[in-house]
Parts: sequence; structure tokens; C-alpha cells
Amino acid sequence: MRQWRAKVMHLSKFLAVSVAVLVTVAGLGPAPAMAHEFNLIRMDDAFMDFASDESIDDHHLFWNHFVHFQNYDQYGARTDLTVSEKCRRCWNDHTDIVWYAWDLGVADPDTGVTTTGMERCRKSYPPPNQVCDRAEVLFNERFTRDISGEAGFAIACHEIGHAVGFWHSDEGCMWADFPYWIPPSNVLTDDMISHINGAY
Amino acid sequence: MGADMRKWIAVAAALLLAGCASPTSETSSVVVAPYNASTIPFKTLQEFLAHRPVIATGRVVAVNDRAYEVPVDPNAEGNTETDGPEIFGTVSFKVESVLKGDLVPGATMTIIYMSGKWNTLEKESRIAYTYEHMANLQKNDGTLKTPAEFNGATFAIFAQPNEGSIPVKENNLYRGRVAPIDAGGQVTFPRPAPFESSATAAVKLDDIKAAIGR
Repeated sequence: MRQWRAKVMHLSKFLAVSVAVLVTVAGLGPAPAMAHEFNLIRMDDAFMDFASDESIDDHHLFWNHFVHFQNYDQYGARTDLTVSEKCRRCWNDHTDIVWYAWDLGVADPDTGVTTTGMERCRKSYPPPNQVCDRAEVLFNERFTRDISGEAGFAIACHEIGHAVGFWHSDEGCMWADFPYWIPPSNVLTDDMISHINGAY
Repeated sequence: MGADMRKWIAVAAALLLAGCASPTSETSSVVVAPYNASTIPFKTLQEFLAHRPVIATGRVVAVNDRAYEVPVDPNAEGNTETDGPEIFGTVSFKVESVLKGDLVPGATMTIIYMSGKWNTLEKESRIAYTYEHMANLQKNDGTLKTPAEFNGATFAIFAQPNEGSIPVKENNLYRGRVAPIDAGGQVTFPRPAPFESSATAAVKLDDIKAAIGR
């Protein structure tokens, strides 16, 4: 009996050390806490804030309208994304989403096609916190005052949808290709809003 | 402390040290993030080609996903004084045929792109960007496939001279996108579609030549 207990103890030690070593050597850690509905890198904050860094009034006023109202679904339900807006150009290093207009041209140098808007993470937390500390949304300033209201809402909704962690889908504003979007394509779906309100 | 216990501690300590010294310490400081864009394709293939001053075919001969680092302008929109440098990668092709532009067959053509960004000036961790339009070139971790991994595949290259749009002061750099050419001469574009047809556009190389009068 004593020998049997000693063998069990020996095996337990072996397993415990093996697991610890495996985690260390292979770099395996706990999976990032990420709801499966979000398939991109997400923002870090439960209390989301955003700000404009646009220095030119015309661009600021035009796009700010769309950024403000994109957070409603087709039934008028609001997400909590609008909880805090920093004043224009006075955001800080940890503001969640910073947006501005930029001349993205008629043909993007990389893709060769017209870019209406884009989103990228500019500051992240290192692993295992696979989250974005600050995302950036750019609108193509060539479309300032030269795009329909529905398209403006759709672009703002699409890019901020990426920032909070949604990939392309065939619903709401996350359609992949602009000409193929079908109404209501300028809003987040109520399902997306539920995910956002639940996760942040 | 028994001999068994000392042996276990020694083995565990050795393996832990081995883990710390492994190359994972570099990769563990990288967060992979997609670089997203919403786009409007051109109406026709001809319109897309008209906006690409250099069109060629070639094979990948060299890659470097961290070829250059450039500090950001802290006064530019969207930047802060603590922002780390931007990182740029390159993909070089040996040109096989030139459909448009001043290149010659046999020349090396290098495409530059923004491959990532250091989070801070201390450069302790960085973001690696992935792009849909580079799906044929990049791996999931944001690094580039090696030339051997392309296994001799030929690509169509649709480019424009860098001309400072990426702030790397080196001549003969281009920006652009590439699309693989299969054995039947079909060019298949990864997203985003460059012209209106479907989400993933495909066209014969001969149609591209005809569209630009070659």
C-alpha cells in the first residue's frame, strides 16, 4: 500500500512538472478571453471612449455626424459605445478609438482600389492580453461632403465595427464589399449590439 | 530534501531556463492585428489597370517583413509622443515579363508595405499587421512566406512607385498588390476585388494584356 501511494505521488509530481514545463517551453497559456462572436483583436476597455483628431473643421463636422450616430441599430437601440467622447484633439494615449480624415486617394497605393475608410490597431497590449489599447479609424477626406448620408453611416459603422472586434459578415454594416451592401447596411444589427453590450 | 525531489527540481529548473531562452521570447511580444479597409472597386478591369502605372509578372526571390523602421511624426494626426516607430516589410520579385511601365525582364522589383508598429519608443512589444490583399504572401502570424514556400509560383504585380508615400528614402521601391497566376494563365485576386465582378475577381492574363494593348 505504501509503495502504491509512493508511485501515485511520484506520478503526480511528474505530471505537474511536465505540464508546467510544457506551458513554459511551448509558450502555451490560457486562451485569450474572447467571445467567439468577436473574431478580430478587440478593444481593452469596458468603458469605451473615442475622440476626433481631425484638425480641419469641414472634415470634422462632416464625419463626426456619422461617428456619433452609427451606434444605433435599426430599431433605435443604442450600444454603450457612446458613453464617453473626448473633446476634439485632446485625447490621450489610452483613448480607445481615435478617428480623423486623411487623403486616401482615388486608388490606394497598395490595393489599387478606392478606399473609403480604414481601421487599424495603433497600440496593443502584449500577449497574453491580445487586445488593442488604441484603435485608429480613418475616413477618406475625398468623400467629405461628397457621399450620401447612408454611405457615411455605413462606412463609420463598418470601421468602428472592426475596431470593436467584428470581422466581415453578410449582416448589417459589416458587409465586405461596399457596392454589395444591402439595406439596412448602415447600422449594426441588434445581434451585434447585444454582443457589444455584453462584452464591453 | 530527498534525492528524488532534488532531481526533479534540477530537471524543472533546466527546462524552465531552456524555455526562457527559446526564440518564443521574441514572438511572444507580437500581437497580430488585421489592417482593415472598406473599398470601392472600379467598374471595369480597364479602369483598375489605368490606375496602375507598373504591371509585370514575376517570382518571389526575397522577403523581409521587418526591412525598415521609421519613427512616427508625433505632431501628425493620430499620433502621440510615446508612439513607437512604424515597421515596413518588403517582397522582392524577379521580373519575368513587363506589361506596363519602365521595368525590364530580369530586373528585381521590390514592393514595400507597412508590416507593423512598435507600441512604444522602448520597442518592447509590437503589432504585426495582416492584409486581405496579401493573403497569398503572408502567414497568419503576419510574417511573410519564404521564397521556397512559393514553390516557383508566378505572380502578376500591379504597382506604382513608392515616391515617398511610405517614408523610406530608397530608390526603386514600389507599392502595390500581387495576384497568383495559375498554370492556365488565370490571375486570381484576393480581396478586395479590384473591379466589379464578384467578391474574388479572376481574369485571364491574356485579358489583362489585351486591356492595356499588349
